[in-house]
Amino acid sequence: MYGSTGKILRVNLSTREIGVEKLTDEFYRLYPGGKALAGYILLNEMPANTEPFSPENVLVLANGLLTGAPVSTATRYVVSARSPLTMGYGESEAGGFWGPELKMAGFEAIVIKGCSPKPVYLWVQDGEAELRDASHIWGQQTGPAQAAIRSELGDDKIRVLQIGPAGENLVRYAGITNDLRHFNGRNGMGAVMGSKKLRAIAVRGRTRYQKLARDPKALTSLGRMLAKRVKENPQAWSLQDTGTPGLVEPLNSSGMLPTRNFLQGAFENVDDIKWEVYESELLTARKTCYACAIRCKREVQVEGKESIYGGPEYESIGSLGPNCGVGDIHAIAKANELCNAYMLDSISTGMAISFAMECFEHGLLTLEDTDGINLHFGNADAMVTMVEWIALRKGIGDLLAEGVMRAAEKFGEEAHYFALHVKGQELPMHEPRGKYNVGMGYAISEIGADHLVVAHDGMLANAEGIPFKNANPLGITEPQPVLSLNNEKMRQFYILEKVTSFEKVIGYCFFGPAPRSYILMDEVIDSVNAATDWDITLDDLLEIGERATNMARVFNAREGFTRKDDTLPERLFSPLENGALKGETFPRDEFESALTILYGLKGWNPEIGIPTRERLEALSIGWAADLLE
Amino acid sequence: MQFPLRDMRIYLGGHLNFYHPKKEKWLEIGIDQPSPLVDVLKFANIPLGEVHLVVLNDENVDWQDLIVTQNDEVKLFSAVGGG
Repeated sequence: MYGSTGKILRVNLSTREIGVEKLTDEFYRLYPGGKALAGYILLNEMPANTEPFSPENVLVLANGLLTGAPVSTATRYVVSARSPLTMGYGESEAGGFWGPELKMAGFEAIVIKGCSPKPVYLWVQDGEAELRDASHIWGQQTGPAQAAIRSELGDDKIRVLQIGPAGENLVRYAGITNDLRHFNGRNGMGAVMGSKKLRAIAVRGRTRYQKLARDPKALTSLGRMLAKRVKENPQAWSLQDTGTPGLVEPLNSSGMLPTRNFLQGAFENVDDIKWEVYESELLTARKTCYACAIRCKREVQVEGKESIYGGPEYESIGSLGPNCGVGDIHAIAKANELCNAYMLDSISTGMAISFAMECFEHGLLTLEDTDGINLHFGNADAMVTMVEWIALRKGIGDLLAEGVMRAAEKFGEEAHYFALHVKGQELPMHEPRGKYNVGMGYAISEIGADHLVVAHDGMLANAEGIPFKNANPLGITEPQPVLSLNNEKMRQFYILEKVTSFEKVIGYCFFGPAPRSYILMDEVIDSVNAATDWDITLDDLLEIGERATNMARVFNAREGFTRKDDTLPERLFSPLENGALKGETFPRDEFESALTILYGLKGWNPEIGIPTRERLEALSIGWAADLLE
Repeated sequence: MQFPLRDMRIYLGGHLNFYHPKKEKWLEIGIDQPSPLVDVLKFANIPLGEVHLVVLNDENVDWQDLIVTQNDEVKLFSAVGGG
């Protein structure tokens, strides 16, 4: 088998059994890592209706096929389980160095079952693994915990993936970090890990990916060429120049910077939080993930000291900043640091706080409920305090730790309108009223509101734009307006979703391949074929992506999700209050028609939004149809 | 077309500063009379296909036929994706 270690590490925390499973090439070609491998394991090894915090929940950490290859952005791994936030298919991706290190240690994936009676961490080194006591780091923030593990194992190069106190406290949107600055933020995977009393997975490996590849020279050559091209491609170069914080001002000018819990689309204090301010006030260095020449990661100082936790990305700036009415870049940086130290998803955290702020503004929460904290929009100190209270489940933070959907149940009927989520997961920082396919992605995603389902509308709206031209090989040849859900746009959505999905399978970051970024489709295919002897085509890759999406969909169908769950919060069907898109709404009727068209393209029953047996068999996963009968 | 005299400032948002000779966010360009923005951008080697949004004096505008003067503040933005 080429391109893969061919091994999965299996750990039962209840019995402390550790074993290794060998994969066949035939199996791996159908499920070549990441989202596909995780989806297969969850569907086949966990019964329906498994409680997310029970020992029976299965936690899968799965590398993509190319994770660790010497090619920019091929760094990603997926963490998957039943989500305690959505109660459906849970999934969250991250880059960094941990995934490549796991591959170098000899494993494609780790499957965790059971629950340890006391805190433990897993130590994986060059094909061997052992469970070790973690009682001494339980309760610690992620920074000191990582230092303690590295010190104990005597190697500063060990890559540590871990949860923080938020995961220990079962905050339903607790995340997972590796190297303190790369995050599996979404869907509460950190809470699942916490429920198993598994604090960390430390990894060290020494077998480079080139040893696994069929044609290591071709792969290395492609990697070198792509590294050089970063300077020649405006999209990739811009990711290096400003990183995602550079999105703040363009989105504000477009009327699409979520402000005050999505009430507004433009923020009056945007000049205090835009990239130029970030650069002068916070930035200390630009960093990167394994072998990635883009270098989109930021290092920052917080309260005058170099932070060990990495700088806020756009999503964190948006959710903790304008979304809470906060225009203080230092407060945003501090809140982001706390999210990372306690290991909370900064998107859901910011959205939980903005939800509470709007409830407070409307009198649904009082000073008595907040222990005297004035939770009006714009109170930066309150926003920072709330991050800590959520992580520690202190005061009102205990309710907010349940996520906005559950918290709204406690705050009264009116609160539901302020609880902006899809399937229980809080909205990311992109405004569907200005880019309809993003809204479609929020609605239809198996993990709840997710902004990484398809390339965003504006990138494909101009025939002369580089992203559009680079999307031509996918069969996207007619530019479409951003404010439309017409038939052609749904056809494009169907294709683009398959692209994003196969990226999550083979290990590429959203910032790697076109149309979002700069690696051309032919080069993506070349990279897979240099790694393997599969002689794969674009159609094969699209099918891999579609297969993975359908397995996630079957998982949700098995849990009772139907078309009614593919919807958007009521606020998005209401007019934006200000900004360039003032008065814009997400078109409800057009949305329902588009959903029916999209289901048709996907081969899903249009009444209930569930894959048909015919489509599942066509995707070589007929076995999944059996699970629905 | 000649652009010899007064400097007009154009903000290059999103990835558009990639096209600035020094990769800076502000571009200064000489302009002595009201001129079509598309001509100014062509002169400055900003690919029109990469311009997604134009903000003229703090207002989003339809820019294909826009005439600008040296007193205008123009901000250009590329289309930006998620992440």
